[in-house]
Amino acid sequence: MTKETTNRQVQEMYPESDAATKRDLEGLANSISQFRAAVRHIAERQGEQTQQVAWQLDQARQRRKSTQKRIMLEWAVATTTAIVLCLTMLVPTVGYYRNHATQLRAQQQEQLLKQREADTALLDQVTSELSEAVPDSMQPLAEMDVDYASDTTSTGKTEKKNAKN
Amino acid sequence: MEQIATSELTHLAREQAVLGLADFDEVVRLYRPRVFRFLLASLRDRDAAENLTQDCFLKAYMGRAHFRGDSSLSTWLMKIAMNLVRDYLRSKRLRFWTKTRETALDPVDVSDWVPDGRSSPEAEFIARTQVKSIWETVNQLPPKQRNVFVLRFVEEMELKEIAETTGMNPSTVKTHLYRALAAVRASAGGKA
Repeated sequence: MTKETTNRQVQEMYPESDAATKRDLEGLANSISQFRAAVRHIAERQGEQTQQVAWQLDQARQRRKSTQKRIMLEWAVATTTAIVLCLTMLVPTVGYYRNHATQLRAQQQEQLLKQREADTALLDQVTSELSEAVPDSMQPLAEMDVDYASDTTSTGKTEKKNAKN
Repeated sequence: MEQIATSELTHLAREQAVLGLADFDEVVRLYRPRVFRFLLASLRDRDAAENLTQDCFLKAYMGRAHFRGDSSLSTWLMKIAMNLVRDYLRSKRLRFWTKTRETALDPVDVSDWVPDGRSSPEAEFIARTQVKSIWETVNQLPPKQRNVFVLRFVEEMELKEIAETTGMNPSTVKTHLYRALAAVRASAGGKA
């Protein structure tokens, strides 16, 4: 492509331009021509080192295979790292929750023990109070109770039955 | 007109014929410089451009049965190259931890290739600076604008051909080209 063609292409993009702008665009077109020439120079120089096509395709095929292997390896490494990281984070968390659960259980057992002790103490207190000797003033009532319990007459039985009902 | 149409058909037939397995060497010989040039201008990395050029022809070779001749062989190859560039840049972004710019071309290297024949050292220096500036600006353009710019001004493709290669409609191509040119113009010191 010549400089004139580039100039035409650039001018096409700015159709309504004055003389000053046209000069500016000519400069731009010139720079773009230089840029193209530079890129072409490099590409051509590189092109001189062109290898055999079959070898190139073979090389590309091999590279593709190695790239696939590399990607698989990278994924494997990334997955392993992720798993290790998860485990590293999970182990202390599980440990914490396990400790927490153990502590909770111990606390519950402790509370249960305390409760039992309190119950036992209460029962002991009730038993001791019940086993106390009947005061003198209440003695007649106690005798009546004994008589009532040992009453085997039909009247007594009827009374007991009524009392139950 | 008829002559042109006939020559185009002949050209297409020749291209299709040349795509056969036996003539694939010829395909590579004919189109390799163009594909390589496009990849080099897009990536600024000689090794990556070389590898992707090989990949492009490998893909073309493996997919030659699917080439229906709807577009020219050149357009088809450029389309493959463009997809490869897109995939390469995407994978490079994902693998940000790998150092892939070791073989990247230094902008100074490119300006060193400006043909001589300047009237004065000062003019030569200005030319080199301008090329360096364009090279840098093109590298910073969004991918679509860069593709369109390179295809138009380095590969000398017509707007219609660029539209076919990029899969955009011609007016979109023109918009991208206008924006790219405005950026280049601004970097060169002109009005955007």
